[in-house]
Amino acid sequence: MVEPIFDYQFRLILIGDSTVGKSSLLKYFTDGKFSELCDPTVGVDFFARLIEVKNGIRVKLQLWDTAGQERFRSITRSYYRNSVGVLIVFDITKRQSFENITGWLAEAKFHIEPHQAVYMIVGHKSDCDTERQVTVREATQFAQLNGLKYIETSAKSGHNVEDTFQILAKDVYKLLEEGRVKIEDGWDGIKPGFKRGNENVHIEEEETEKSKCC
Amino acid sequence: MSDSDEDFASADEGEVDSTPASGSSKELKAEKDVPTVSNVEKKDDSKPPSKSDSFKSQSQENTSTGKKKGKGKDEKKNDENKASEASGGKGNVPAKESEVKSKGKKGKNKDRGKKNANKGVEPKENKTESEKSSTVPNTQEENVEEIKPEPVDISDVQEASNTSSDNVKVDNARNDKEENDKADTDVAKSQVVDNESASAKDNVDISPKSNIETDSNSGSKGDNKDLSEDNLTDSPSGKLTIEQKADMIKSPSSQSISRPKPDHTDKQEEVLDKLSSSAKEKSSGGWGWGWGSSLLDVASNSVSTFTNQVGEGFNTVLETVESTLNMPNPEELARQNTADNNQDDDNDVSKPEKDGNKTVPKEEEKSPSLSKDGEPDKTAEDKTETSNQSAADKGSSESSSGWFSSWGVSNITKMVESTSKNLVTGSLDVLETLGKKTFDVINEHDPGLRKARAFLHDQGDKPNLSAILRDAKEQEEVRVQHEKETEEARKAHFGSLFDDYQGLAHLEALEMLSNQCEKKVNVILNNLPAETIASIKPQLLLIKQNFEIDDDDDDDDVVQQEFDKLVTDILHNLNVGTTPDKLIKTRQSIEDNVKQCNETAENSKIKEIHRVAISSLAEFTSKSIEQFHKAGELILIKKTKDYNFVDCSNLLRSFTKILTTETGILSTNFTECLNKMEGDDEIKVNHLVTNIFLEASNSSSYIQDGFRLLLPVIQQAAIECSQEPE
Repeated sequence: MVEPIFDYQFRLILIGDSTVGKSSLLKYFTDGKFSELCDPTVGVDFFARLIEVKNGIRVKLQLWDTAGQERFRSITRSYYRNSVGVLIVFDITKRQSFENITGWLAEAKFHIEPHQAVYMIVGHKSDCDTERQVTVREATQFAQLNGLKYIETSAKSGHNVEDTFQILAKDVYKLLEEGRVKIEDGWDGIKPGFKRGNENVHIEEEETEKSKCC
Repeated sequence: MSDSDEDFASADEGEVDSTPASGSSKELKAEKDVPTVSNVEKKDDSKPPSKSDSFKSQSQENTSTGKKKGKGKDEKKNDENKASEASGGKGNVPAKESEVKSKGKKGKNKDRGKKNANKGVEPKENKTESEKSSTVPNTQEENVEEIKPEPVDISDVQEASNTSSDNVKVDNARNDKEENDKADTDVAKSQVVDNESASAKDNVDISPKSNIETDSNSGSKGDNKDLSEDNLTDSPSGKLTIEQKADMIKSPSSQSISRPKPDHTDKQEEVLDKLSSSAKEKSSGGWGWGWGSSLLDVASNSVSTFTNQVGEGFNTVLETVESTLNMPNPEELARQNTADNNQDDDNDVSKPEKDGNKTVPKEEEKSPSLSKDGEPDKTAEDKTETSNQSAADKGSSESSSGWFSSWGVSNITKMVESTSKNLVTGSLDVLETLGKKTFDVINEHDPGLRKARAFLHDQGDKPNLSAILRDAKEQEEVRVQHEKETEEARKAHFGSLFDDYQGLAHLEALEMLSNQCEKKVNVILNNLPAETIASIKPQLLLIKQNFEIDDDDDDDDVVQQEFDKLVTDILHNLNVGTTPDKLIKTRQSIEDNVKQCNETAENSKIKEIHRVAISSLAEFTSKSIEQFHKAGELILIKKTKDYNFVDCSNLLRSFTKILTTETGILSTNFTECLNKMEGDDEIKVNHLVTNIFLEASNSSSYIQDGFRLLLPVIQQAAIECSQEPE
């Protein structure tokens, strides 16, 4: 269970082709487990984990695991808007998933803007280096071309999984510190956390009530 | 003092009014300039500090030569007249030089001119102003004198720079040589009059120069230059230049003349006259007269000064003090100065000691020049009543011995005085003004300073640091305690647990989906042809009806239901590809929890049971919402043409009822478990039971919310499906 006290909640969304391993990546990040078999995600699923982006600053990452299947595309579009961080995941062993990144990135930007968000490109299944169809160099180049960071991960080996989310969360926190993103009504990309003190319950109640009303 | 204050007020108010009093034609011209007069008078205040500057300017004059000579001629005439009378044998030559010097500085030409003008013109004005009685001129002149030296100069330089054009016009109009002659004659007469007056004039001269200097420094230089240039060009025709100068001065002077009348009441004028005259009389006595007359002069001057100065009597007081204090200094300085050089005097007023280095001759030269300067001033006897400063200068200069030496001494004393005045009056004035203003400002808003006192007093009453610290400590303790409690409470808090189980996220996601569907439905309906809408409408209405939940539907009496089977059937019938696996799994784990609670029925675990109950409800609710969310997503991408969305909505309605009923059953199970251990802590158990039921109803409302959010989703799906075939 998630630690109760944190300062902020960042909403991060994972997008990318089906079967690139988004859910596995999140499962490993949140549970530390990897399972070979994984049902395709329906619509969107949720994960959460608490991390520290800075000394004493704890952030709850609410991770939106979207369905990669084309048939859910129309639905997953609905979920971009309230995200402050976007992980665009592709499978380094599937060339097509890399080439579709452009489309995913454009779609995410289209729905997120004008809000600020941190985008990051993740080459997944780095454990399957022998089957690699996308070189690190071209993936890095593509990322740089779009002004983004590129990282390769593996839910199987756990390679870079932790770092990926740490980097993303810290970048988001930097945006927050710089004032380029902020907590605001009607946008759930960043929410205040359960602060130590009286407000805890109130915040929670407010939130629940809000959602109830709607 | 009070009178003088009144004069002030009258002066401020009456400046404009004053002009009419002197009804001459010139007055009319002067009226234009009236504002300048006021300005001039105000500037009088700034005068004292400028003296040092004037000295500097003199020194500079010495260094500068060349062109000045041309002008020097003009003044030479005056000077010659004066010089002849001047007891000093140094006569014309030095006088010329001195004048050259004075002309060297552009502003000084004006000074000269003004002085001359004052002397020469004022009499005329008196003449022209038929209104004024013979006595009046004197008073006027006095006033003028007192005021003029300062105002005129300033007006010429600064304000007159603005009015210079006016002055020029006046000059043109007045280019009567007679006036010059008169002026000259007046000058001559005045020269005959007194040494005292001469000395007084010197003083007068200085002050104007200083004014000019300062003014020129302060930015009206261009105008000064223009004026001086005019003088230069005009210089060939000596009288004219003098006239012009005089005229230039005239307009302001006339203004100033016209002004004083209203300023001083007759009585005041009389008093002033008496004072001044007595001062003169005594001054004629030569050596011994100094103190008393100077004081009298000062007194009279101070009165008049008040009329001139806006708002501040400090100068006068300070001047009197200075005049008394400075008296000894001149003599000391005189000794030093016997071997003096003028240049240092000129260059640095503040360093009289340097004068010792300078050569005698220069000083001698200078002194005559000064005397000449002074003599013209003398010419206007009445006018000889000079500014406050000049009065002080008088005293000092006359107290010193001998003519020549007296001039030199007077120079030095002037310098010393001016320096000291600069320092003292400047700094003290500033300080006093500041203090007065501050007090006024405070007092204005806070009569009697009551608030200020109360404020300061209150400060003392405020709690001290230790009290604050004690409070802070107590608050911190309370806060820590509260934090513990809230943290504990949070563990059993439905909302936070609901979030932890991702119920909130699903609800929010469903909400986003629902909102988007709603918008899309509106867009589609707006764009559809009426026929199509008509064909769809019945279906949409039916769907909508199924989403209107009656609270009465709730059958709280249901104690048992085959949840797994019911849910499975419904989702199967829904036929969108979602399975109730998670939901069923969750419910079974909750059932296990209930059993566990019943088995470990210990009083110490009341809180634990409560926490499990709430947590179970939150988890169940979360899974319910997730089920709705998934169902909604799948319905939305349902592309089956024959799909019956009315049935779908009906099934979902049933599903909702099953879920809410189940929350009731689960909560009841937990409360029963709690009620078994009621014996020990009845109140606490009751409280927890109530809380569980409360959260159960909360849970039900979440579920119903989730259901309602599906309406737009199903509507959109229904519309899209009906559209696709076509």
